[in-house]
Amino acid sequence: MDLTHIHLLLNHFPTIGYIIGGGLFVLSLIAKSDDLKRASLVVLLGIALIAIPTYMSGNGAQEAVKSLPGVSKSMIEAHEGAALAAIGFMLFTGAFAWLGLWQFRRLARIPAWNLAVILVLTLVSFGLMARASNLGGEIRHAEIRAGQGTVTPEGALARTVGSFVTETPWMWPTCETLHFVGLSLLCGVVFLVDLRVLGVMRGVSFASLHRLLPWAALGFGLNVVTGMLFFVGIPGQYIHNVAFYWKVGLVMLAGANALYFTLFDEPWSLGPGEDAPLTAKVFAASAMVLWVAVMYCGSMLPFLGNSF
Amino acid sequence: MRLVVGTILWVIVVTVLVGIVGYALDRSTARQERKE
Repeated sequence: MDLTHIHLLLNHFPTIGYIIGGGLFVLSLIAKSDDLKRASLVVLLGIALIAIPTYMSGNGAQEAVKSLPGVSKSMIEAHEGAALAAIGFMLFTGAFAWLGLWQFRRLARIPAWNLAVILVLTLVSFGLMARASNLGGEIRHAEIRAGQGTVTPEGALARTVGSFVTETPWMWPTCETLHFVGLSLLCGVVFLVDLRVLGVMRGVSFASLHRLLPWAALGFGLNVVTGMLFFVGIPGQYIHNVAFYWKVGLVMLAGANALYFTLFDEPWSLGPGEDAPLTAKVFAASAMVLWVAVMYCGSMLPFLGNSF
Repeated sequence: MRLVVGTILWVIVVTVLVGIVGYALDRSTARQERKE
């Protein structure tokens, strides 16, 4: 199995996932159901996470099809640009979906302003994703092409952003620094929460530390944005790198693991002086292992693969 | 010069923005928690 297979496996998830997640979200607003709202936000967040390897594996698929007869560079670039625009909005949707879940845990409701933001972002993301999927289908399916040459407004978006990242002298070192700022924020807060669950600082309630989680989410957001910029800048140094595959896979797992601390009641009910249940401890310990593994894979990019 | 100034400037701008968003979010949630 290579990146082409992975791209073919994943590329339907964002579009279909948005139909399910977005549909559930609209239904939850109509039915005024908090459970449906939370379920739809989990789907939207999950799809945002899956969109990352979907986009990245596309560059591997590009290498496999670019020299095939009937495949043009402009069609690939049109798909790549549309996909970059779509993933940008999907990541924002995922961020606000997570915020909604966090707000629900603290306030027992999601503020109306955030519901409105999620609704707008979901509709825009779905539109952009559907367009990216259609342009992707046109690459290998001549029967659905509108014309000979596909020219789209966002056609050169990915390459323009990529060139800006690699050719602007301050851009790469700025992203590197911000990647570490994000990492410090993320691991600083996540480890604090995990250590409390594991039994350190027992006098502090879980709810007090849970209040810090948006700082971790902001750090994660900073890492995703800067990480995506690195990838768009020089995709070739990542798509053949085994350490990078592991890193992205582990980020997905760690992201899913983090949901436990906001979605489930077990850790939330942990008061001052109380010992966490075994399940919560397993999630906390595995989160720490996963994030250390993510950092290890990031550091090993030049040693296990061909990066830098 | 452009490299050093650009890097320092943008790191400060983005870090401050992240700080403002985090602080505003924390304050507004704390305020609503006190209300309820």
